[in-house]
Order: sequence, then C-alpha cells, then structure tokens
Amino acid sequence: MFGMDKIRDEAMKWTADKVEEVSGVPDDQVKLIAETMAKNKPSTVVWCMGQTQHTTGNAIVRMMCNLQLALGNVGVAGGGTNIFRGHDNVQGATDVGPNPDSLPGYYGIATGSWKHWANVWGVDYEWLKGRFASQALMEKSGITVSRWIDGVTEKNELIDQDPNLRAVVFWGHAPNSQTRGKDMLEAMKALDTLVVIDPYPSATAAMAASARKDGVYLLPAATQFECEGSCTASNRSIQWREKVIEPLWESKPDHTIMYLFAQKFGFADEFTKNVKVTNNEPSVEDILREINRGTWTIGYTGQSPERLKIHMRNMQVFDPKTLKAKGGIDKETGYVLDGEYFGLPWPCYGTPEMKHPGSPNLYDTSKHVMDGGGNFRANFGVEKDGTSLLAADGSASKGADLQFGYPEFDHVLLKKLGWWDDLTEDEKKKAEGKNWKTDPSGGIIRVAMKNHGCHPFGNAKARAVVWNFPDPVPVHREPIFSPRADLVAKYPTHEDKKAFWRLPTLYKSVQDQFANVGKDYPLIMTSGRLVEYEGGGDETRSNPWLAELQQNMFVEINPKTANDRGIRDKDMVWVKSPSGAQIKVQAMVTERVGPDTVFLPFHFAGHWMGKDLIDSYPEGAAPVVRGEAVNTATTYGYDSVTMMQETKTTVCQIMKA
Amino acid sequence: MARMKFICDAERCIECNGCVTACKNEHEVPWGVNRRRVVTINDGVPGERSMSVACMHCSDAPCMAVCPVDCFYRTDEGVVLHDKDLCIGCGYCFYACPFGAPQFPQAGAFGLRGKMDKCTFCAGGPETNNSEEEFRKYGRNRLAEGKLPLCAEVCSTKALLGGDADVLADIYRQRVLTRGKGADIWGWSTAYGKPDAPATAPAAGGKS
Amino acid sequence: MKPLSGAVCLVALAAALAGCGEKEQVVVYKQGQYQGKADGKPWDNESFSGDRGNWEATIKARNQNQNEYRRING
Repeated sequence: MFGMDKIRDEAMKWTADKVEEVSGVPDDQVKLIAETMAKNKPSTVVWCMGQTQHTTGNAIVRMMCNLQLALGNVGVAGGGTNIFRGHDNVQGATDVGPNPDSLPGYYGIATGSWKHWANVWGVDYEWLKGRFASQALMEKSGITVSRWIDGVTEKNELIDQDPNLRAVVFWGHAPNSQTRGKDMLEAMKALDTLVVIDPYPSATAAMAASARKDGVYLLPAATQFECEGSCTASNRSIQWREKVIEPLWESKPDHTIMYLFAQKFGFADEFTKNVKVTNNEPSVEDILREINRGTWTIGYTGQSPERLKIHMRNMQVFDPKTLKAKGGIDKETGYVLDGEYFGLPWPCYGTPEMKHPGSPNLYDTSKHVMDGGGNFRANFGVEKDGTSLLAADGSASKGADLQFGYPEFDHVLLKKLGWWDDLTEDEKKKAEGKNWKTDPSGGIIRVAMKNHGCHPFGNAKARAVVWNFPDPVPVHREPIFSPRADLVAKYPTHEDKKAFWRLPTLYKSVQDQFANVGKDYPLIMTSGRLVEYEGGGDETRSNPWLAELQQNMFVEINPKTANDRGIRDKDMVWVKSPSGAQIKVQAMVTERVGPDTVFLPFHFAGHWMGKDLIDSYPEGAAPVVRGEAVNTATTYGYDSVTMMQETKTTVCQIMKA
Repeated sequence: MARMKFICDAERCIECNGCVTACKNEHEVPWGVNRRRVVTINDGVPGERSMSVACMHCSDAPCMAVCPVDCFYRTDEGVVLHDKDLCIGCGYCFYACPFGAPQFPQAGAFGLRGKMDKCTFCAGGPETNNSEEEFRKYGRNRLAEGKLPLCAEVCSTKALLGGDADVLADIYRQRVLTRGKGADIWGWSTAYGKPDAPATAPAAGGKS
Repeated sequence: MKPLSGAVCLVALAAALAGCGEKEQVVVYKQGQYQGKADGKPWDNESFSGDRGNWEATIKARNQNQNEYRRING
C-alpha cells in the first residue's frame, strides 16, 4: 500500500470529542462499530448515494476504501466495498456510455483514446475530429448532467466553451432527480429546444410544459420489456435480457431512435459500420460485439452475446454464493460452463475465444488471473516521491510468472520479457507499437494472462493517498449549507473553481454567504429513495398497484421537531429552503429521523410549490399520484472531483401550511 | 396432504410490499380493496418488525360461522372460499375476522358495501376452474394449475411462506435451527410477555 | 261458582301448557350448510386428469421453491 502512514496521521487527529461534534455519533458507538468490524472479518461496506452525493463525496468514498484496506478486507470474498447502483443497468451505462469526460470503457478523451475508438468503430479519425468545433473541445471534459442548467443560464464569458447550451435532450432522464429545480425551470424557459425521449412524459411535462408553449418534443421510447440486450448489474455481472412484447403503439427502442437520428443527421453509415440494421433497428448482438472489440480496459471483451445467452439458459449450474459454475454443458451448443462465473463479471479479459471466466471479486490475489484473480493496478506511474508504486516482492496473484511488482503491459515490456514471440504472426502485426488497451488483437492480454499468469494492467500498490485530488488525504469539510456556523468555521469547504467541467463552480463564496443560514433554516434536509417508486417516479407512480401504496409526498419529521412547530401527523406543511423555493407536502411524524433532520423522498413530481400541474401533462398521461419534487427546493453544491450534486445534505425550515 | 397455510416470518420481512403488488396485479384487485397488506410494528425504532397479513384460512373460520347466508365453504385442502353471488354485503364477516381479511369494494349510502372480496389462496372460487367467469369474480386460480399463491412465491426474502402446512413447518424449523433464534414470533412470551423481553439468545455460532 | 273455577283452572292449565310448548328464548347456533354453487377440485382438469396424488405431489415439489436452503449449503 502507498501512503497509509499519512492516513494514520490524519486519523490520530480525530479524537472522540471531535468525531461526536462533527458526526453526532457518540464515542461508545464508534468503538462498537470499530470493534465489530475488527473482530468479524471479512466484512463488506455497502453504500448507495449516501456517501457520494456530497461536496466531499470523493473523499468519503476514498476513506471507505482506506478503511477496508486497513482492515485487510480488500480482494477477499465477502469483503470489499460494494456500491448498489440506483437503477437497472446504470453500471452498464457508465461503463460504455455517456460520461462527459470519457469514451466507452473509461478510456478518457485524449487523442490516443479517440484514435483507438475510431479504429474500433471503423471510421476515419479525421472525419470524427471534423464533427467537433475544434480538437480542443473534442478533448475537453464536457458539462455534467448536474450542471446543465448553468450551461444554459451562466454568463457566456464565464463558461469554458464558445456558445451557451441551447438545446438539451433528456434521454430517459427525469429532471426532478437533479437539484435546484427553481433554477432548472428558468433554464428550461431559456432553451431553444428540449427533446424528451421516454416511455412516459416524465416530470418534464410538469415543468417545461407548464412554463413554455413550444420547442418541447416528446419521442416515445420503448421500455425494457419491449427490447432485448445485455445489462450490467451492480456486481459487474452481465445478463442478457429478452424481449417480452413488441413495442406498443409508436414507441421505439433507444437504439432504433439513435439510428433514425443518425440517418437524419447524415452519418448513419459511419454509425452502423460494423452493425447490421434490420427495419431501422441496429442488431443488439452486433453492438455488444463492437463493445467487445474495443473495451479492453475494464474487460468487457470476453462477454460475447453467445456466452451471455448460454449463461442465461443454464442459470441452475451456478453456485449462488460463489457465482461459479459447477460443471454444466449447454445442450444447444455443447459449450462447457465449468469454472465460469455467472454473467462473466467484468473484467473478463481477452477475446471470447480466450474463455476468461470473469472476475467475481476485484483484486483477489488468492486466485490465478485466469480464474478471476487479480491484483492492484499500476495506473498511476511507477514511482512517487522516491517510493516505488509497484507491488513489493512476493506480492502478486496466484501462479503469476512474475512474483513482484510490474508495470502495465505493452509491446515494449513484452519484448523485454522475451514473451513477444508467444504472439501469433497476425497478433504481432496488430500489437506492434501498442499497449494492452489499444491492441486490437487481444494478443498482449492473451500472452500475459494465459501463458504467464500475469495481469495486463500491471501489479502495483493501492494508493491510500490520491495526490491528484483536491484533498490527497481525505479530510472533513462541512457541506455548503450547514446549520452549524461554528463547524463551518473549523472545517470550511473548498475554494471556488473558475472553470471546472467548463463551468465556474462555487464553494467557499456560497458557504460564506450562507454561514449563518442555520438561524432561519435549522433543520438538516436530506432526500433519498423509497421502495414503492423508482427514480423521477412518473413511470412507477403511473402504476396503480404501486401508486396505492404511497399516495402522498411526505416529509419525515421527528415528534419533537413536529411538536415544537405545532405540526401533527398528516398535516400539510411548507418546507422552505435557502433557495427561495417552498414545497407543500404532508408531514409524517415518526421516530425514523432524529430531531435535527428531516427526510423527503425524491420520486414525486407533478406539483409545483403547492399547485397541481395535471393540466400540463398530455391528456391521459398524468401519473395516478402526483406530488412536490423535493429537488424543487434543493440547493447549490457539487463534489470537488466528480461534480456530483450535494443532495444528501442541505438545510430547511418547516411550518404548518 | 395437510392443510394449506400461510406463515410470515417477522425476522425476515423487509416490508418491500412485493407480496401486495403481486397479489394486486395477479387478480386485478381494484383500488381500495386490500387482499394482502404489510403491517409494521414499532416503525422507525430498533425492534421494528413487519409482517404480511391476508386471510389466514382458519380451521374454524369466524367469517364462516357468522355469515347469515352461509356463503362460505372450505375446500379439502383447508382453503376458505366464498360465493360472491350469494353474498349480501352485510359486512358481518368483517366484524368477525380478527385479521381484517374481508374487503369491500364500495362505500355507498346506507352502508352499501358491494360483494365481499378476500384472499383466495390463489384458489379462485365456486366457478369452473380457470374460466373467464372465475377470473372476473375471484381472480386467478393458481392451485388448479399446480402452483402456489403468488405472494409467497415472489417474496424476496422468503419471509412469507405459503403452501402445505407440513412442508412449511419443515422449512421453518430448518430455518430457526440454522439461525438459532426467531422461533418466537408467536407464542406465550410474545403474546403475554413484557414488551421489551428479548427473543431467545442466538445459539453459539448461529448465523442470522 | 264451581263451573267458573273449573273454567279458570282449565284456562290456567291451558296457559301453563302453552308456556311449556314455547320455544327457548336463548338462540342456539346450528352449524350452517354452505348454500352456494359447487366448486371443482383443483386436480379435475387437463393437466392432472383427476389424479389427486399427482396434483399433491406437484404442489409439494413446488413448495420447495420457497426453501432457499436447497440451493445454498446451509
């Protein structure tokens, strides 16, 4: 491990009184947690958005990893940090999809990455470059979904691109899942065009359609039941999902809509160079095969449509605890399943022919790399501050030919080790001048892993200290809106950033402006999920069975807090935030929250500051249950690395309506 | 074959309402009629427990005993069903049932309630099995297809078990032995003991 | 007076006898008989062709789907 001593130094500063002051957790509980985790190994830490949706989200998450590293819970079955993604296939989306700072597979957007993908897609790099206003813009991280509204309304001279945003496409996105609803409505009014692609009109109808008369378009998209394809679960397993019914009425699957757009804009041929199109629908198998051919980084290469479908046909041969197949031969193809992990969890390295079994647990040195084993990657250089970042002698995955640290594999290293001649002639031609991530033959990976048991991404130490982040050692900083002015003074937030993901992003200036916000807004307001509803909620609130289970938007409020304000259970109350917005919801008086906190679910939409917006929905398309969106009232605040919105902590005041 | 029964393990119920939603969907139960519902006790404090409740298909059913038109009957497997064509909607079965199983679709003037509806153990009613008529009145008849109630089959944690009482008893016994506690969701100490009396301590090495 | 007292006795006797013949004031519940339509057996159809044993075995086997210990070792 690299830098754990610095973490220890920081930890020693946090005496019991400081911990309780900042977190509210008393010392005996902290001791109980520490003792339980120390005495029960391996154990795992699970979180969803509770750790990431803060201005210090990146630091919190890193601290969890450091905790597990310190306990020795990383790279062992039953340990690790296990994050539950919020939706079916969000993992798949971030792996291959629309990230503003990366091409598919976390390749980033440097020139080399664009050239790699141009190669995979079979399009000319120069043609691809020509689609952008400039190469600089092509290689600059874009604006995140959490800040699109500022891209529209921010002063043009302050944003790091020439024009402001003028058109937005919401593709399966509910606007009430993003903060600062009040500002969002202004942004919607200012847009030239807003396109919504969704099976339901979504909360956009309730917002945009209520505020403007034209320029908003709804394209009906098919639901997950009306199309097939692969999807990635939170544990990185990939499953093949089958179509249940044909798309209803005029709705079309997403990939068909993309193809039709490509046709309209004149690049349909480039778009589907390697993909067969039937009746305007690109083949999902071909799309996955194209992903297989290019995503070497995270090992999305071995999960061919054939292998995935075989797994789905033979689910009964996989052990539910270890995910490993105990024997099993597929009746249709004679494929041998023994030893594979269900869904070939990525990384599943190499070509499908190499038959890598998938990796159920990351960084597990107790297994051979061809059995799903691994080690920490060498992604950050070979040395820092005079210390080697490569793994120490003796620290390597089981059965590796190199039982010490080594860098990432490329053609140079392969030649140095004398393994270059293990490649076939065809592989040599393709791999020449390349590294394991850009070699289109997969030969470098094959030789490193299958022939020599080594990990293509190298073998290095885990970084406890991340020197390229704002806080290399994770430290506490108070949220932008905190009810405790004294803690804000002790643990202030970051300095403002002038151009962060193309936008000026404020921290200290907002926090200073609202340093005493606790006087008028003394309650901590947090938001989160319910079981009955999902995401923005318009889809699930249109389902009568689910709608009946939760018919009202509500705020969970502690009995003491409620009594101090003359509020009784089921009273209607106003929740006011420093954003200037106020929402009218039903009070749920319960012990679920402490006296200083209130909780609101974020799944509701269709009411706007007390008014029912049913008239804004297309006729017959309004959800059964409508309510206030908590994000109408949430406030400014973004993570210092990821630009994730700070939805988990802001402040509010509540009064009887 | 033993009688058909439900058992809901309060140690495992996570209040997901999957059972409720499955029942609603399977039988197209109208808004306001709740054949199955999840009851939560001590919500929001340590010791919170939930349980899924529907008709218990009692051996000596009070609803059957009090019905003035005798529209209830019990099948060979112990499932308590009723004939909606006979039901006069008096609501007396609702008074008698300790679980609140009978549900009524209307709330009109002069106590107009409509025909009583309740959980059928997915066994339909006194119409031809799996006919259109049976589905319209009573919902789907899964028993006649060799299947078990959908609520128990979809339960995400296997808290709700439904089926042959002997089989359920075996499953439940193995579960309690494996985890070393949680046998006492019913029983003397639960019904009559002190509210904060602890459950039996876990056996050494027992897993939850 | 003799015929009158005789008549009174007769009336009194008749009244007393009438009292003996009255029904009980307390309601005694008799187990009712189901008055509705007959219901078919779940095994009287194409899938099970009236074989009760087959149906019971199917149900018992399917019941084990609710026992996750079958798939996981303890």
